[in-house]
Amino acid sequence: MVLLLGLSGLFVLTPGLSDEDHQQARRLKELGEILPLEDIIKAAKARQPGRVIEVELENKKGRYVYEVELLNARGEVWELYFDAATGELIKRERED
Amino acid sequence: MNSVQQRLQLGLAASVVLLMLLLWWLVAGAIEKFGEAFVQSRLEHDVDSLLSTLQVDENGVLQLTPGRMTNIYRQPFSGHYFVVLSDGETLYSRSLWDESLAVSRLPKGVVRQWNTQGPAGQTLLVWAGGFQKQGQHFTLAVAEDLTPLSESLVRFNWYFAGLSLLALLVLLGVQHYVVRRSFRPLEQILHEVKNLQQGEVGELSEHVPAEVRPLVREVNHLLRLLGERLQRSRNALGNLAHALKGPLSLLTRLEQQENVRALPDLSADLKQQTDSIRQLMDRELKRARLMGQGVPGVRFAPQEEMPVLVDVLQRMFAATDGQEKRLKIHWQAPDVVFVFDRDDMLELIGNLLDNACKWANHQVRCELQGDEYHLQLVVEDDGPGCGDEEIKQLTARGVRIDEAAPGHGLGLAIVRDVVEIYGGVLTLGRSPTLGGLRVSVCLESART
Repeated sequence: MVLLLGLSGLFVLTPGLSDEDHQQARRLKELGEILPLEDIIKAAKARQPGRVIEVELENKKGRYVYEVELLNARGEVWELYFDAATGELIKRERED
Repeated sequence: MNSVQQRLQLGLAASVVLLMLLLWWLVAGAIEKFGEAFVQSRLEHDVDSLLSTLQVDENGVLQLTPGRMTNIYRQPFSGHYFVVLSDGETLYSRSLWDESLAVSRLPKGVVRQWNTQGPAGQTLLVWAGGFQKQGQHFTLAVAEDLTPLSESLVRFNWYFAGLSLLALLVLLGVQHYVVRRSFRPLEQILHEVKNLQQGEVGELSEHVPAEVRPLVREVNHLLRLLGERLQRSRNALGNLAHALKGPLSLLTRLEQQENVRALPDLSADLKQQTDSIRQLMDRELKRARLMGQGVPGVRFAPQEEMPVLVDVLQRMFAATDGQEKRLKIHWQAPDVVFVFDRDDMLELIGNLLDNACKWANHQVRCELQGDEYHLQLVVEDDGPGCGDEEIKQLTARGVRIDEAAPGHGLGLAIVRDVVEIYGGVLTLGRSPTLGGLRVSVCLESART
């Protein structure tokens, strides 16, 4: 059953690759393992003003990392990486 | 607050503010309704397309067909969200991410709509309905962020307030201009009233706005009435003086009767009183005679008045002085209309000429000069003239140089009164050319 779900999920995920990431994020937030996205976005906007255009939750070596893409007023897209559990900024870079 | 302008402005401001408030209430309300109706219809369309993407899989679980959803439901906190509540798992749009939306289950066919708080401080309009598809009962709720709408509404409110203020200012300005224009005829009337005072016109023009015409008509009526009254009272004075002449000569004769002469005190008293009555009468008679039929007003045209005056005086002295006195009155005046009271000027010049004629041997010269606001008058004769002492005395009120020439002192007193009224200068001296008394008067009109 789990396999089936996973399989179907895999099948479904192909276009978006991470179609299930928000469900995972919801679960992890309810378990208290990661911070709410609202807090992460607040932190991101405080460091880099702009509009959030994409958010991804990735698992990098057992650590949950939020990748937030922001579009600023000058038309530049910035990528900010946060530790999803602590809200700590890991990396900030401009996408060229 | 006794200004029509202020009252109009207050009235206009109050009505404009009221109108703008009403308009604002209507327009802002309409915009909000329109916006919400627009959002609502979009939500209904999204419900339709979501319903078509929802499929029940072989396990009887509701699934969304990916790829057929607009990207807006995938971007986190985009402001567009949906929730599907069914017996099994609850499906959330990816845009909701780790947040949720409080939705209770609805029986099929029931539709509800409400506002609620969403993620990131958004205000959401939620549209929810109960459905049945492929044997599954579920509740589908879609929501959209109203913040852009309320933000544009706030912006609209500011624009509207600014525009209203501008409109109010422009309207007040226009009104100010219109009021000024409407009151211009009043300024013209004011100007005419001044002319009236200076005797240039006899009445006010009735070519004025209908609102002030009754007032102008009343003023004209009053002017006519006053003119008539003045004329009547002058005539009455003249008549009275004439009528008193008979009894006065009777009294004079009485004073010469022997039984009265036997009482010297009484006789002297009688003489003194009859003399003073005669003087007053002479003065009033002269006035009445000199006045003629003029328009009452501050306008003195020497070219019109002097010939008549000189003529009257020449006849007076030809008649009263029994023996033929070859008296010549030379006069000279500019062709100017002086802004001085006609009656005052006639009285002034008449009295001076009267005095001069009384004392002159053969010649009296009268010269007027100046412009309309300034009058220089010189009257001189070839009579005996006055010494320095006498001239000094003449300046005092009612002093008579020669008791035998009745009216002399009073005449000069009247002259001095007139000069005083105008704040002018009266100078007495000896005529260098004719050798007699030279009286010069300088008058200046207060240009009202």
